[in-house]
Amino acid sequence: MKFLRAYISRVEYISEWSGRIVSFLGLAMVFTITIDVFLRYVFNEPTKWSYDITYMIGGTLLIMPMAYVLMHKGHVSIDILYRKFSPRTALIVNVVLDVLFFFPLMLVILYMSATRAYSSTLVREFSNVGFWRPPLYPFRIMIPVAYLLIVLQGIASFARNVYSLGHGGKEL
Amino acid sequence: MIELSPEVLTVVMFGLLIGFVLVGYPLGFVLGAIGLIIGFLMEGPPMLNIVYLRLYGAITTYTFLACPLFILMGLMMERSGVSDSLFEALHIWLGGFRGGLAIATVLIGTLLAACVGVIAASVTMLGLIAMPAMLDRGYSKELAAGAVCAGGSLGILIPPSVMIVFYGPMANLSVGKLFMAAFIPGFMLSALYCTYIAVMCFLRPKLAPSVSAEERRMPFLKKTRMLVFSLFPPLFLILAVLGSIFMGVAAPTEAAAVGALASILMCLAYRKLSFAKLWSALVGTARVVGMAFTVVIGAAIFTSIFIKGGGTDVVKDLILAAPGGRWGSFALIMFITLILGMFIDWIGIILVMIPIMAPIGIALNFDPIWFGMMLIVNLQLSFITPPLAYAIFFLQGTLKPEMGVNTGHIIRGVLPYIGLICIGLALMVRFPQIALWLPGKMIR
Repeated sequence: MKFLRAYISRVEYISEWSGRIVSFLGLAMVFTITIDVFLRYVFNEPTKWSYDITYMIGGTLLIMPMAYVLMHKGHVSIDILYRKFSPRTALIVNVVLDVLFFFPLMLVILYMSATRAYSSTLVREFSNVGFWRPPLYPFRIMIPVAYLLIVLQGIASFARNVYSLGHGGKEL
Repeated sequence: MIELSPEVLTVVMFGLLIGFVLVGYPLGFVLGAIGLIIGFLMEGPPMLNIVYLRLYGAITTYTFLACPLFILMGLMMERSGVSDSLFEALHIWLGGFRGGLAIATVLIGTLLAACVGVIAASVTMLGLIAMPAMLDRGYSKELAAGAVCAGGSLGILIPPSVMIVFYGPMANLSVGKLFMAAFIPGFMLSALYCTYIAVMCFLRPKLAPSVSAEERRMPFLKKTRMLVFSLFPPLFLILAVLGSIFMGVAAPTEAAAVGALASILMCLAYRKLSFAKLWSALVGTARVVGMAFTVVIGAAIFTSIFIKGGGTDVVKDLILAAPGGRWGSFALIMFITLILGMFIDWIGIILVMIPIMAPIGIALNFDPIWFGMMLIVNLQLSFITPPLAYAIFFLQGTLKPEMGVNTGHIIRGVLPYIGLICIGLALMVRFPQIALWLPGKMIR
């Protein structure tokens, strides 16, 4: 139990701060785009790096906060029936569907993105969408990192639910 | 490997989807997992690679990046406090008319809509500012609640709207064109709402007593100054963002970035900018984005396998079989969208149904932009039709018990607006130019 508590508190700390820190990428993206727009219209000289940097920053901003959202139970769900469930039924639904849906999906994505990141790093893959051609593998590595955080947070949330189910609704 | 006929696939996939979503499990996980499991049964290990490719494709779609930027812009606008000063100004100007405050509410909803793009923010703001003001002056609870819910929901329709940012890539349409197409329908709905309020209050003055003259007394110059100072900055922001798209100067993502920067500067100008505020807006953005893209990725996996398995043809045959020719099929599509909107979040509807419905619209020989606008205006209904009506939930979240407003009041309040949106849709069927005129005038 002690180990589990330590695990949960550490993972939730990571999830919380991953969301808060990654959020600054939103500001970074505002600047990478506006600088490009400014240079294009004022100096007639668009940057060659803006497009690549923006989609890499943006892509990170789109998936990195998922662990944070999972921890705060902020995912889109339809709770018309759910609200009428007893706390016990709600816990059972969540535990069963975590095993059936959440873990298979996230582990597949984690595995696939990790192998893709590995092979991309081996060949030092470069981006080929613009003229700038920066290294692509850091972005490829970011994806399994994001999903690792989601899986870790998923295990923490799952453990909380299972504990609560086994101890008559008590919080861990 | 299991062979599933397209008919069986359609029933199984949508059956599982609806079943598991209704028990309250997160939509994005259900979509992705059903796609993965069914796909794996049909395709075997190659499905694993499809999952990765769909994920990678979704997060590197440049147009989608407009979504966090518009959300950031809206959250900064919210923090600038401009809506408070705007309501105060309109309260002085319009308070003397019967129903003036309710009309002011819809007008602010319209204007906020143009800068916010997420309905949670606009309904909440109106609920906090306009609702108490109207109730204090003896407005009927139904009238007040209806104006807040309907006015606040316009945010998702009037550009720049996040819904359109998702619709564009899903239907292979230009987001810029869709923005322009949504402009007139959005203002048309707003005008319908205001007219309705004015007529109702004229017929039954008790609904909305006019604000006393003492309360409104203020020197003309001061009055005007107030209005200009609260109206001009957001108006300028909107015109800059939409204007640059209209003139072909900027892609939606670029316009969104400029708009986000402008909203931060606006906060600075109103002396409302602090690091804590900026950070909370950024974290709020990350939160909405993380939530939305879980659904985007799940839906991308789900629809790819649904389309691959031939499910779209089943839906298409079903819809084309409707009696009454192409308009019969069209009515069926609108009806399905309406029903789905009552139960499912709009983001799920856009991401799952549009890849299936948009090609049917083309097969039926409808203009894709007009067809998209009809669906998007139709989805306005999804915010105010119970049992799943976000506008109602958000309004409830802002109410205090001493106001004595219950869910019954709110639902009775929004009912007329369901009729008004249907009138709007009928007008768009009769006069397609409402949606098509402005995008046709676009440069480039």
